[in-house]
Amino acid sequence: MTTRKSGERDTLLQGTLDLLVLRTLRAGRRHGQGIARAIQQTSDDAILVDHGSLYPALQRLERRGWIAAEWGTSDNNRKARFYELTAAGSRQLAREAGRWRRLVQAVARVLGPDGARG
Amino acid sequence: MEPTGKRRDEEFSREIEAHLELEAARLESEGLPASEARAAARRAFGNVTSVRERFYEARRWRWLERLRLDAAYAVRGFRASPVFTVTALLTLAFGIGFNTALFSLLYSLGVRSLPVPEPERVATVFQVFSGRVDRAVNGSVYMLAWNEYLAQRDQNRTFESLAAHAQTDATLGGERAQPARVTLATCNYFSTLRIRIALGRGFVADDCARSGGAAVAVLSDAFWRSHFGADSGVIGKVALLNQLPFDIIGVAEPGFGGTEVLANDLWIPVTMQPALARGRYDQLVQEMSWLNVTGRLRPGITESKAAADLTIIARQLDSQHPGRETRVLVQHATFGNNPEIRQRGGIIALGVLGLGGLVVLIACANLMNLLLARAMSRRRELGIRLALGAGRGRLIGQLLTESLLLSVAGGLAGLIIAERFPRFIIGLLPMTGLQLDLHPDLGILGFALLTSVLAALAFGLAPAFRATDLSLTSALRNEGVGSHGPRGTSRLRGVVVAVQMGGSTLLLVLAALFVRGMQRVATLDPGFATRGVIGVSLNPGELGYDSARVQAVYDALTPRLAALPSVESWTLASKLPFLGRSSTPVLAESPRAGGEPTSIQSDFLEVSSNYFSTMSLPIVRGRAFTAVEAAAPGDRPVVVSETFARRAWPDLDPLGRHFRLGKAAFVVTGIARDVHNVSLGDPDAPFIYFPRAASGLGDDLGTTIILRIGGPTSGVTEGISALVRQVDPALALRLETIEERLALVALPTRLAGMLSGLFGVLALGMAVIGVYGVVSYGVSLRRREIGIRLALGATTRSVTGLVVRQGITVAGLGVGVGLIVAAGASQLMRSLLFGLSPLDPAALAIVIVLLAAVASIAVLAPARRAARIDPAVTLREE
Repeated sequence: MTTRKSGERDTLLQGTLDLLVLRTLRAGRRHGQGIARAIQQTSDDAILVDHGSLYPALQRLERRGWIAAEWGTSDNNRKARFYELTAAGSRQLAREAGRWRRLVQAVARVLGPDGARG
Repeated sequence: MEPTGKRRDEEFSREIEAHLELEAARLESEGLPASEARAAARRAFGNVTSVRERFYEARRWRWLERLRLDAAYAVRGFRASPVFTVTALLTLAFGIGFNTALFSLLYSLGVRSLPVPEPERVATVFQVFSGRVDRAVNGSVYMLAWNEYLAQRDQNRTFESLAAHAQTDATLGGERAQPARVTLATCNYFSTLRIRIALGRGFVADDCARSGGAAVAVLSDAFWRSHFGADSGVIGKVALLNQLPFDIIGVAEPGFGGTEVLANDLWIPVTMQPALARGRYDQLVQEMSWLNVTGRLRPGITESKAAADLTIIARQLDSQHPGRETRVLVQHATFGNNPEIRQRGGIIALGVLGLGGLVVLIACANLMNLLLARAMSRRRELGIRLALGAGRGRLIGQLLTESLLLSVAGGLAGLIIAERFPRFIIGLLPMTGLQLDLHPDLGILGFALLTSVLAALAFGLAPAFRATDLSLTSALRNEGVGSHGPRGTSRLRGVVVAVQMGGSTLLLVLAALFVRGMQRVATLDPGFATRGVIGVSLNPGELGYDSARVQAVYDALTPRLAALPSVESWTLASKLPFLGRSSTPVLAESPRAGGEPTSIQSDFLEVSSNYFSTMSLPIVRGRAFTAVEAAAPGDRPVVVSETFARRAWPDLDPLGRHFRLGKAAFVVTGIARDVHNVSLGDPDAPFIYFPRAASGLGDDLGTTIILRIGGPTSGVTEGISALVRQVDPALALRLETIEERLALVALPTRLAGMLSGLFGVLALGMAVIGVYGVVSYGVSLRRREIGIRLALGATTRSVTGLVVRQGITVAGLGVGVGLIVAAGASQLMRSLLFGLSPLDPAALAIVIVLLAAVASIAVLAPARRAARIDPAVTLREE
């Protein structure tokens, strides 16, 4: 596995982390470190999750009732806190994903077909 | 369940720990050595402490803990600057205390429930008439007549029980006759109010049987203790009221002094009214407003529902009075529910609360000034805290916590003033036995707390924002000049001082007006003699003497009084002027022949023929009636006032014209000048001087022997009481001079003057310190500039002028606005000014001169300091 230089990694837009966490949890329950790694892998290491921001985000999502948590045991037999998507979380994910897609399309239209040249 | 506080912190730490282990394990599996993997995981995570902090900050009850920390910090700060703290606390205690005190007086009169068990369902009943109303009144027109009470009691569907009562004064006989407060009450009075009878029994229905009733009395606990030595054998003893024996049957529960604001001594059945009046008048048959009605609502019935119910019953009675429409008011019972009190009280309440609010405002302005000054001296501290990473919001929160803490502590201290001060005011009032409950309850505490919090925001918000608006470098270098903070601050302080000057101007103008009003009472000519006039009132009627015996008393007494060496002349009247109001409608003959007579509501006195000469009251047309005319059969002679004549027979000669009162007919023999018999400062509405006992309005009008004394009145009273004892020792004597009466009339003005004067002087003191502070500070900021000016050849005169201008602008602005507000406010106080113009030039001039003098001192001292600045020194300073 190659590691890119940190300068090439994109920083996350405000609020995007929540969306990515919810999306990641749709695949099943995971602990915090697992979530961070999954996001990193799925994005081909384009997105590096700041571990420091992850936990407050998890805490925020949990308080809003979009994810639920309980202590469990990891694959390599360590105790960790596992998170799971709730029904409300699924709905929120659908809403947020839709909004995100619309935003991306809108931004793409503004940039034009050949935005890379600009 | 949400895990709380500590446990959640621990859990969060465990979770982070688990994350670090998992991450380290992953890195190890990718080939890193164990020790390096651990460090790398930590690096990837970032600042663990800061994440923990963010977790902690997101907690819901965080603000409470922050408040606790801020409060602890604030207390340390206060300890470090005791002078500031004590000044601030005193200012606040004073401001909030006086405001709460004034509020609690109004609150205990008009909001607090009656002192009875389960007061929530107890309500009072009053009537408001519109249209044609002519009815007798004993007390206030809003009260009910006996027949109206009976109709309401028997027909209503909304009250569990409806009682009526009226408080009156009577003479309690015994070794020495003395006055007592007696309440005539319906026999369901105690049961309706659920007042326990501690000893003996209360009234039963039989006691109130119409014919005669039972001569029984229930004592108040306080009266039982003060007059019967708490003797448990008092039941069955006899109390002489107006020489009439009443059997004492019970003692009411301790603490109950009746449902009127003046504590009651004895209760007797309402049906004893004619007997207590010794048969002189029967209010149980007359249609007369005299009963206070109080009832206990059925559960779940609102006051408005009950009012609708009772209004229907009242409308049925209206059918016997064409043109009259009655509306019934049902209100949650307090001492001050009578609409008459409410109306007059509304204006007073507005004035009183306005005054209280002004005091708080001035205290706030003073504190804001202190805080702004303190903020300047704390620039370094705040700068360091900002530099160390404290957020501005966090600092503002902390400074506001300080203000809040000060304010609430000051408010608590103010509660002491709030409880003492009303007692002091009550002590100045002429009546005894006011049973106002002034103890702070939730309402009063809530008011004090609300005032404190609002005050904290008022004086704390601006300084908090201002103090934290710092450029770091300048704050840390402890630099004043040039940075934006202090300049803005001195402008803000200028505004604050202007507000203080304005507030004190307002108070001082009011105080000066009230003082002038009092002077006016002393010098105002009501139109008749006031100096050396003594009224001698006796109570032979109350003692049950028949009219022959009453006449004998006066016949025996008057020549002896007239023979006293200092007595120049004497006359008889129903009462002294200014002693309450007697008013009746009369029917004046039409100005046109055969026209309908016009009804005129007129105040009146009954007087002897020599009243006009004795009181130096001018007859402007015609003449006074003679004693012979007054006694002759046929139309009775009367003297009416100019206003009466104008109202009844405009543009016609009033002499010889007639009017009727009931069955009696009267003919006008003279026109008296319009004078001020009822209220000083307001010329009378229509006024009639009837011959004695001619109005037919009853003997209860009473008789006062009026003596004109040549010299001082003080030495005469002894001689008068000796003569009265000589004639009949059972007589209770009351002596009053018109001058004493006038002092009583002027009392509200005196009170208002004392309050506004006291507050005004204190406010002015604070304002002057404020002006001095702002100007001095301005000078210190401009030392360099002034130095340069002087070095370039400016005269000390022009420098002084520069500084004085700044101070005068601030002070003048405040005074100007204060004067404008005062002009408006004094219009509302008209009734306390006895006809004095609310813009009385003398009062305004005095205040303006005083303010100008005091402000000049506050401005000139720093101005002279500015002029003495040595350019050589100031220029070298930097």
